[in-house]
Amino acid sequence: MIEQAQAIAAIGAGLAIGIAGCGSGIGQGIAAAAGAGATAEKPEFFGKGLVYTVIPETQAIYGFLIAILILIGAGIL
Amino acid sequence: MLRPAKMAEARIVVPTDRKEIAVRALHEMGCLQITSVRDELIGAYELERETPSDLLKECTSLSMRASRLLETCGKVTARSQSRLQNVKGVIDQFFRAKVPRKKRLQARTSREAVRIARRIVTEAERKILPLERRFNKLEERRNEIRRSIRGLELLGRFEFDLKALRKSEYVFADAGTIPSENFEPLLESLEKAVGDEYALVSSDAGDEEKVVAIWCLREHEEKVSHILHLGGFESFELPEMRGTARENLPKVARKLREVERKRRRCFRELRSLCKKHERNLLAVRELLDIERERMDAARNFSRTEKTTIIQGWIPKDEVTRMKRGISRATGGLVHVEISNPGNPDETPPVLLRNPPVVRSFEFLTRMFGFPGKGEIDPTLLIAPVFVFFFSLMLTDAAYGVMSLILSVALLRGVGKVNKGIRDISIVLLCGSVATIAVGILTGGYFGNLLDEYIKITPPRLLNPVKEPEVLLKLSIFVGIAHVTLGLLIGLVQNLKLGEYRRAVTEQLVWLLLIPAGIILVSHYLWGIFPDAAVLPAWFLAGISLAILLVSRGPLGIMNVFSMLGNILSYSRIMALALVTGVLALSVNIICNIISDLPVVGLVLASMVFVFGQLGSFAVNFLSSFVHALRLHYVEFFGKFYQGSGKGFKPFAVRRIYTR
Repeated sequence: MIEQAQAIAAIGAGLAIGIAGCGSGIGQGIAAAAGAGATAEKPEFFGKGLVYTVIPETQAIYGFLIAILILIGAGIL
Repeated sequence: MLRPAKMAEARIVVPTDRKEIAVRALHEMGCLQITSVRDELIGAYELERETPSDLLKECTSLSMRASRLLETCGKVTARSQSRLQNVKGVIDQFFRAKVPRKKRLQARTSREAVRIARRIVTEAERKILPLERRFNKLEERRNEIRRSIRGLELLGRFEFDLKALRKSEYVFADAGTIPSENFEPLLESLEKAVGDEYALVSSDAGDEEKVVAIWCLREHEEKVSHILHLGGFESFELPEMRGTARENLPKVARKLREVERKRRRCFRELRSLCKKHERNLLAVRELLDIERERMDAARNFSRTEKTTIIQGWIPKDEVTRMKRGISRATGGLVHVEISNPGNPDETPPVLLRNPPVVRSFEFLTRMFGFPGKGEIDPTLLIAPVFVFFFSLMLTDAAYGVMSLILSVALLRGVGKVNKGIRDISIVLLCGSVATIAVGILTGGYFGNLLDEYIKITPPRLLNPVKEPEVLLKLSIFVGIAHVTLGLLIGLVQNLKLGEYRRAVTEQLVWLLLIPAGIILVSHYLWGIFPDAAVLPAWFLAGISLAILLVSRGPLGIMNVFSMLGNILSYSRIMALALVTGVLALSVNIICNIISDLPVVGLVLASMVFVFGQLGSFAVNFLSSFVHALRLHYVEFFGKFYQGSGKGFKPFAVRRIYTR
């Protein structure tokens, strides 16, 4: 039986990764579209295009990190 | 090793009558990147720009004619194979690629090359083109007859003589199909346009179409045709016939068989002709392309009355070989001048030079950009760390074996003919071996397959799914080490270039702040460092923050968060390791549930296991590669590498079909 506090912590962890993932996904979508366009015109931009594309991704990692820390802190993991 | 090859500028002067031999020798040696002779040199010595040979036009035209024939050959080959054979062909290209057999085809001069090519292309055209035209005509005829047969089949429900569909001086007639939903509106439009001065018979041809035959006075032809066109009418375009449609069908079917027979025979002849000529045409096109490249290079040369001047970049260690080669080719009648890059505006092209295995990782550097002025070639650093990151993210011995099989298959297949794929395969091969090792250390074999279902507990140092916090600490530690390495390289580079201010504000400040931060966080959170270390750590942190404030203003403090983000970004190593374990585990759980189903349970579970694990492998394999690359491009390169250089493109012969 999961205690109420742990359940709330699990929901919190879910929100942390979920919201961060949404934001990151939207940002990455915008950047990836521009990056793909630039790479189509100049293939040598692939590396730099990838860099711009993945910058918003870090926010999802933050969310994931927070989620893991919550789960560890709540004793679920 | 950490530096690209040193470049020199070469100027070669040859008598104009030996120009072609010299260009050939340079092309075969492939060590010079030809550049345009500089304007100031042309002005100073009253030189003239060289113009390409008259043969260039003919060479281009012959190459296009060869390409046109090869296109026909390609289409014929594709048509002669079933869809399954085509799919198999694509798979074979990847995993069982054959190195093309090289044809001996060489010419001593461009003129000779053009003569050889003209003979081969003309002969192939004489044989292939008329047959292709005949085949196209037969195919057109076959399609016409097929259309007629369809029309006759649909008109078979009417008993009128097809003679009635002939257009005469007074009557317009046509037969065809129309979408059912347009039929009523069509009748209304006809009524409005021509009243009752038309005749029409119709019948359903399936659920969505109606077959229609229509007659009207010639004077209404234009209006009626327009209305039919708007209604989506498609005419059968029948040839002139007598008798009912049903009576005509066998005759037309016989004609179709006859045309089909002729078409097939023609196709067989065409296929055997294409087979006979394809290799020759590929070789001749390659020969022509090589000649074109040589003739085209002349645009960059300049000349005096009796000499030609060729200029370009050459790796310093190739100078002796080039000098010897060109001297031998021209009988010693050549002058070569080598100088260091003098003009600061003109940066030499970059040629990466690394040991054999590391060379395969060069494409990772190239994808980002070649090292710019004063930058190191980071390939040697990327190679081991990329493999390490990749293996830590994939963390499953079984997936490592799958990746190993894939990379070996690619290496032995398309890797034999494609250098890019060979490099990727070698990188994956190294990554796979490391993944197997990491998988064994973490006891991951298709996730928890051994533990839960085969009831064997493999020995392991660490279980990523059960102890993510250990992996998280490891990831952050690796991140700090990697970022610090990048900062140190940046510091050395800036110091060497005399950019002291940048060295302090972009690298040194972090090299002070990161250790200070580690000491302070470890002391206050876990009490690792003694109290004596705290004051110096605060001091270092204070100095570095002050430098940041002074050099970049109040917003400079924001850079602390961006650096923190860079280091925390390495926690993706833990995230991906966890994802691998959990995805594989999920597939195993699903299989376990399915296996309890009666009768089909085990069979279905096995199928789900195979496809589920393959899917999980594909997802994790791809993300491990992309994220390992990202950690290098964003977090590591961000500290020292711009990649603003331009790659060295030697004037070199590339032969696939000829020798």
